[in-house]
Amino acid sequence: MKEIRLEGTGKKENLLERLQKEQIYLPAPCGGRGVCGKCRVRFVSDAPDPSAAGKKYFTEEELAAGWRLACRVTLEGPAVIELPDADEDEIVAATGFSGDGNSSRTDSADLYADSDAADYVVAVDIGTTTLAASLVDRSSGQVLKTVTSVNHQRAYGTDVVSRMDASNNGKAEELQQSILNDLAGMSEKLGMNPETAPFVIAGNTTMQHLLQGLSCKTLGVAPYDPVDISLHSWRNMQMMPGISTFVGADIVSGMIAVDMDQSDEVCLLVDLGTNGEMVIGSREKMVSASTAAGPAFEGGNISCGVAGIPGAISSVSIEDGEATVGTIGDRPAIGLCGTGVLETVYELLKDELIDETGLMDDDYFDDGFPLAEGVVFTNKDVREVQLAKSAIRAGIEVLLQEYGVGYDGVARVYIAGGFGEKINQEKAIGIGLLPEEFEGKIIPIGNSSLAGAVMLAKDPSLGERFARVAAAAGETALAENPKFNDLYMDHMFFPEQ
Amino acid sequence: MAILDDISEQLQKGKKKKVVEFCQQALDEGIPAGEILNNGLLAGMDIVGAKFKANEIFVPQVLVAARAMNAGAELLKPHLQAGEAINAGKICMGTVKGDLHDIGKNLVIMMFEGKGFEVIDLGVDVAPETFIQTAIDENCDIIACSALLTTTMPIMADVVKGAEEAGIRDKVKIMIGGAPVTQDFCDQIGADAFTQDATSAAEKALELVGA
Repeated sequence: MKEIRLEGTGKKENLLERLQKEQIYLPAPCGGRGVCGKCRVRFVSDAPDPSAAGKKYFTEEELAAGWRLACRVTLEGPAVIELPDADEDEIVAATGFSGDGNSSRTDSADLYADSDAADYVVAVDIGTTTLAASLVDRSSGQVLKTVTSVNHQRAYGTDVVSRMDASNNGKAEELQQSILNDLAGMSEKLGMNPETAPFVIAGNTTMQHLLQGLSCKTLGVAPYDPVDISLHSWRNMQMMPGISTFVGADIVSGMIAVDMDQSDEVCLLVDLGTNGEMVIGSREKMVSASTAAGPAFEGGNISCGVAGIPGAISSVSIEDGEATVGTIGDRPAIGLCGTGVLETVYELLKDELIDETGLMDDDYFDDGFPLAEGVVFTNKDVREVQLAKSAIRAGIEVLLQEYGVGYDGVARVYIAGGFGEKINQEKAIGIGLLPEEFEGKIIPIGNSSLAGAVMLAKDPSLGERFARVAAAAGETALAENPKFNDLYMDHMFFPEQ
Repeated sequence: MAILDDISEQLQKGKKKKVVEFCQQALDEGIPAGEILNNGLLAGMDIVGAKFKANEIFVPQVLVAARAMNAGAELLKPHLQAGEAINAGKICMGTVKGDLHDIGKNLVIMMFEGKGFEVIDLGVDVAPETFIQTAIDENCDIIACSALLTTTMPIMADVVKGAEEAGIRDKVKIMIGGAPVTQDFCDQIGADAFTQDATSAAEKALELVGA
């Protein structure tokens, strides 16, 4: 527990917002709406009356001990509070990239940079959850070191929409400062001066807007127009180009990292994150789309879901109703990350503990299926996965139709996303997330956004290629496509085992 | 009556053809259309709503059940006596301006219909003025707004304000819902009701019209 003393400011202030302003990190996945119960603080003395939401998330004993939800507390005078230790700081960001699924193209030799060298560039992937930065030596073309960090904007909400919302409600400067601090922290670890070192930045459109302090007002409402997603410089940073508000520079970066624009064969790139971005194409043409998949494959909206942190269940097998699990770092299980979620659903299906409509066996319907001590998987969790996987699957199907190829016309399927560990092909196909026809073509690629940023850092002349690809790739709107809605319903059930 | 239970059962399974067939059979047996509607179709849809709320069945099953119900209701319509028609009340519903999500809204519409409401589907990206004008023109009892984004939620406040300015606030109830919406938000903007899920929305709507 960390103790914090807050001075009185003489004016009424929301406690969560006050902590955000002081750059004190507290998880708030719901963005401070009082519905997730995660921004827990304990008043050492003089606790205010508990809110209705607080009563829902704490036991009588906890309330008596001073536990409150920060987002439901209005503070005026001084206060002494305690914060739980943040395990979120341990989230492991993916840094490796493997275009062929085996070898890693980014080496991370532990060398410290010579700050005076003019040829060093910092390539950064700004993810909504995690950040990764590589120090690139342009003269040798080598990656000298890679570091990661949590994106501390998480204090303002887990997903991009809650960040947009915070920005639109007067917190744009705070959000910008938060990401600049994180970038500074990483560049110091790389031995570089954050003010002067050249940066190459790949992030989704919202992350890039927040960094540059651009308005997010038009991002969150139809027709979802971005302010600036061109290839351009901002301060000492090279911003990589994006396709649209939904399909950002992180995806364009991935397209180039897998050489989609130079491929003779048609390939597909799918990001299994909240926005389910996907691009299909070859050197001939490229088309992108995004689908509201939700965060289930990142462990979000799952009752015992966690990000890819040590102790997250990442592999599961179930035999005769008994689960055996593997966790990240072989630590005691604390919850499920995305791959654990996917594997659990597959194993439950295989053991006939859920049927093809997604209904759980009577024995587990009320309390969920136990995976490990304190970690269960509920029928509601199964429903979240059904929504997510059918959105992705229907999206892929419509995108292929729009592009004019069948499943067998796709040579390679690259899977990106922050779901913890490498996705298991057989299980992904088994739950119907991907079609059977993709068997043997699926390549988990890790952090392709960072890989693309590293490529541009090594060779600035590639800028034109990035811009060309971003401009050439069209976007098809899935939500307005009636075929999408039909397929979305069709794929909500599971395939027969 | 056995045939009405059969209708309810087939509706729950989403068997549209069977539902229509059994409705015809019930009519042929001389059962009043109003009774078939209430004790067959709507009774079946009630069970679907309850099971959906309890997570026992899922979106596609609700969808096929609703399709089966609508097909049955179509058949019964010409046979219904005045006052027997689907008449719990009239609702106009849409997803608010700037927001293109329609799955949740469609589910709620099905549940409203399952409780005997007549629903005007305004679609997605609906401006506050459209809600208000429809409520006036169609004499609606309830305006129902859906929003799936925190960025589009504030439009709901404009709908409440618009109803006040148009002078219809005392005639129409305003219901709001969608993943980011909370009871606090509902209180704050002065809407009449917020519910967590589609089934509860339909129950709440009945309560609001005092049926």
